[in-house]
Amino acid sequence: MLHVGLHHFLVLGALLFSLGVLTVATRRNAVGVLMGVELILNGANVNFVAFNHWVTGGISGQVFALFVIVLAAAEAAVGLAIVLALFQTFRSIDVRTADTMRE
Amino acid sequence: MEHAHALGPILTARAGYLWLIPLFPLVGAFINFVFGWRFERSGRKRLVHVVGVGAMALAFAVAVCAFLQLRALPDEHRFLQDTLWNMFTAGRVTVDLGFALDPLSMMMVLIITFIGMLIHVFSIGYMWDDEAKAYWRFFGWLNLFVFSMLLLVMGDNFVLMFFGWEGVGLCSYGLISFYYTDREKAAAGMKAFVVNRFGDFGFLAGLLLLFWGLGGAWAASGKAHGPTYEPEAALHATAGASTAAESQALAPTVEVGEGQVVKVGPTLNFRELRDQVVIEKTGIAEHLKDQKVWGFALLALIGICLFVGAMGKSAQLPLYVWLPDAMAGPTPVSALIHAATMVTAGVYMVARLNFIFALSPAAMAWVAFVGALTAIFAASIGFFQYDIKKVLAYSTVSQLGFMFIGVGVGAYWAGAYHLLTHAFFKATLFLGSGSVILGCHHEQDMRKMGGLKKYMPITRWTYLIACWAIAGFPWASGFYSKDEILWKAFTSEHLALFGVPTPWLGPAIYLVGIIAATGTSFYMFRSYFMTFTGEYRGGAGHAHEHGEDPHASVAAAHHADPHGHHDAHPQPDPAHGHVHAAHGAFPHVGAAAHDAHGAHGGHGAHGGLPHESPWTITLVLSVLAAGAVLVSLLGIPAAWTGHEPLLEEWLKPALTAEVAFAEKPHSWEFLFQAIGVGAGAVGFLFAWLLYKDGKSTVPAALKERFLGIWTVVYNKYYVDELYDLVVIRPSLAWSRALSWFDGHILDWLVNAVGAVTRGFARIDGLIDTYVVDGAVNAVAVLTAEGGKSLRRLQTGRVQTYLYGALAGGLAVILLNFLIH
Amino acid sequence: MSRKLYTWIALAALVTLFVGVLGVQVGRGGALPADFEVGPFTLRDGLFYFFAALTVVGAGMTALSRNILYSALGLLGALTGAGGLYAWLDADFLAVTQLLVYIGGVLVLILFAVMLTNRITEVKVSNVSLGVAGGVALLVSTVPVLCFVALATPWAIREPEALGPTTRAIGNAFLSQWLLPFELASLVLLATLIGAVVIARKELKADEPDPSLG
Repeated sequence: MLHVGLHHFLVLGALLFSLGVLTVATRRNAVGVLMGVELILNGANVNFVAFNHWVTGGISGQVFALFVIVLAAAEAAVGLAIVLALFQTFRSIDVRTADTMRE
Repeated sequence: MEHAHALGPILTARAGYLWLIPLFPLVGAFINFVFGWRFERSGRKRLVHVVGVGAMALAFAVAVCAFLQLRALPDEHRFLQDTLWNMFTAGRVTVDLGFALDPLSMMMVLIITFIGMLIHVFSIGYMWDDEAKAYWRFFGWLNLFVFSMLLLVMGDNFVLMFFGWEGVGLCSYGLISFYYTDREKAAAGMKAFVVNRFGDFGFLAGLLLLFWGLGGAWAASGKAHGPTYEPEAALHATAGASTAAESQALAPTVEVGEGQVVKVGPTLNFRELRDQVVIEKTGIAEHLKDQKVWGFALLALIGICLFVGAMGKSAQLPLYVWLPDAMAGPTPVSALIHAATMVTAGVYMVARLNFIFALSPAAMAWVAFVGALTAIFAASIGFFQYDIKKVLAYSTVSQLGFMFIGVGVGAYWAGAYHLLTHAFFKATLFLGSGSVILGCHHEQDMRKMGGLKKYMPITRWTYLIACWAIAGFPWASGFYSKDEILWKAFTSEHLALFGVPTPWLGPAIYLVGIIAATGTSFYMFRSYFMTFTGEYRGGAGHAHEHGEDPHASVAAAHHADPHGHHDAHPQPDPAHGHVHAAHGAFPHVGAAAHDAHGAHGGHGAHGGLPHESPWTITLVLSVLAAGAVLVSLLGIPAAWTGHEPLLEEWLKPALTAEVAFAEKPHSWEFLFQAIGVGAGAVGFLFAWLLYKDGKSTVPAALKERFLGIWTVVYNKYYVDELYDLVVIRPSLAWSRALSWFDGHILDWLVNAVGAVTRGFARIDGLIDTYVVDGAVNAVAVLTAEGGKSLRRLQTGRVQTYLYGALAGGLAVILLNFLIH
Repeated sequence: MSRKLYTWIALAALVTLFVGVLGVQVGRGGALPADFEVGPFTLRDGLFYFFAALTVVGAGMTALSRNILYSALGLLGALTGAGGLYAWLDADFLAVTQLLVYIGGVLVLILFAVMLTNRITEVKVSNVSLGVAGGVALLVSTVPVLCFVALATPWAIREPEALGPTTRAIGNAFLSQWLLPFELASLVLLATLIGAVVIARKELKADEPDPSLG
């Protein structure tokens, strides 16, 4: 069972994903939330590549993972821009302060 | 007299004008009631009596035409029928508005219209100056009364007869209570009406029993005499018939020969009833004889119940008490209603239904018995009365008793004949007394009269002739009728009491009748002598019409009046003024002019002497007295002439009942006639001895001697007091009890229901406030609270939303896997 | 009873439900594939475990560290580990790109942000908004599900291809099969650039001079 196969990578991916979700859900710092998002995307990437290696062959999975990286970068940029805007509005990067949409 | 055993159904002839006879009086009544007051007020008072008398004259004229037509028809076809329209139909029973004249009703119609017309003429003179200023009302009521009476005798079915029966009761009330502002007079009217009601109840009961008996339980008795009918289902069926023709078609019929068909089963029409019962082939008579109701023979019950009706209307024992009180009405009323017409309705009814009565000896015995008892009872009361009208009233009751003896023993034509003769001589007597009363300035007490033969000769002679007639002396009609009745009573063989034949009852009734005849003669001549002979005892002309209560009458005794009991009231003349006021009695009319007809003399003041009445009155009296004599020609007995009396022959088609009489030789008949005359003579003799010229002291002495008996008889045997105790007071107590019941119990119930309703309403209110509104509010509160709770989900934080989304997503994945 | 307690109870119930159900499924024996990775444990496997550990620990640090800087470092470790794993999986170009772009670009960006915002906020930047228990619950509910799915599905596994350079193939793919996404990605980047600038810019009020100008 210790010989590494697809399943190990899938479990790893699941763990990464879960930890990423945990980070997003529990962090108060807005930047921390973005870090969580990166973790999620990485988890997904790991899955993609693993499947590419063991199931589909070719390079489709890798291409897809590349696209994910591109978009992750773009999204990180925009995300940080939003954090700046958030700071400008609320003078704090605690996500809990941005709750004017409550009730 | 032979009765053809093969009696066929009556054949009718159509006379389309019969409806005019009751119509004229009806129209006259209408005009007088609606416009009469205007005539009187505007000075056209004559118009009132022109209308009234005119209507009567026209009715009489048409009646004479009908009479002539009827006479022209052969015996077995003597029946005029005029059916106007069908009033209603119920199954096989039809009731038409139809008038029928057979010989019996023709006789009645002629009496009513002729004597009625004469009385209307009399009323002109009598009522012209009447204080009540209601000349129009009087004539209106008189005409209406004649209309009702004509309806009674001319109606061809029970419904019309009953309508007329009730109508005469109503008009009698209206006329007796004519002076309605006087409480006692109004009460007298009410008494008449109420006592009549008792009788009417019996009448209806008898009628309904007859109706039921005809339909009867054919199957239950198991016997169907004569032809068998399609079962009683046909008789009882109430299948609708909307027209008279359909109704006729539904009725079961029996063929009685030569294509003649008789309808059988319940019916209200006299002719149909007579046909069914009289013609033996239908078997109805046998059927009726067999039926029993609660152990009593049906026919006896029917007869007795119907006779109860006659008792009420014709004032027999025990329902006679209204007739003396009815003297409170003006005298023409007494003459018309209580002599000639209304009171004879009962006799007419029994004669009309002779075929029913003849089937039941028990009923006949009962009728005759009550008639005899009444005759002698009333005669005895008449001995001691002082009010002239009261004497005549009791005389009427007594004579009606004779009539019922006649129809009771089966001598139907004799009873009818006595009806005819009585109408004439009693009307003469009443109108004569009216003339006397008018002449003595409204004095009614005979003790204040006397010697009037000097002042009122015409009145005196007509009165005397009428007394001769009523006493039963030959050559005046009373003799013939009374003797016929008594002879038939003696020879009757058809009577039975409680189912047991009683041949002794006839002679017993005869004996009673003879004694009553003696009494009749006595008190009538007593009244004659007291009124017309001797010296005038009347002083200052009192005008009160009250004399029924002897202890209240003002007795201004002048001349040798031995009745000192009345000293309680002041004697001297000047005090009469007070006494009037104290009694609140009808004030004297003397001051008013009586001279519309110009025959009064010397009348301006109180204390005038009596005077003869105007020509309208004396003419009528003369005509009636002449009639009383001439009518005797209709009833000359067979023993004298060898053939049937004219009236008997005339009435034969109508009075078909065959009743058994013992055949006795003519010598017996002469003997009995002689006894009758003798009885009358004895009465006359006593009266002459005791009362001629008012000189004898024997009456006073006898009275002192037998004061107890005198008091009892004078107070009418205290019958009124007995009725008050036994009937009136319990009724009032009962009504008070019911009133209490209504007020306390029923009202309590109603209020309780109200309270319960209010209670429910309050509960509803509470429910509405707490439950309904509570539910509504609860929904609102729930929504609000739910909203408040759920609002907390909206934290405004993205992370929370993410958390939720994730949880949801996981759940979906899980579910997906699980469901697979 | 406080609302927090209710929340915890609800979460615990949810978690128990998940775990329970999964356990039942696994217990029924249909969960794990029969031919679950047979083979000897080689160095290569050990290498995998090393990179995996790096990744997971790094991720763990990102998730659970109180200090944002430690989180960033943890992120670094996780990204590096992921890069190593790509290399292990014969995805050479991807591994390099990961290092260059992700770590060299994105992570740097994030570090910049962290560094810059460190001064704004308190040093002790907070951690969990839901508390530890909430986080654990989340983890405990997410991981089993995903693992279950991963392990229970019968993947169509086949022999991996031989090791070889992928750059050329990827390049060709970008310009042939994946041309449209490639071009669109360029557009997205353009939009991102513009968008980031626009979003981060301060609102200029009419009467206020632009602070950036002076």
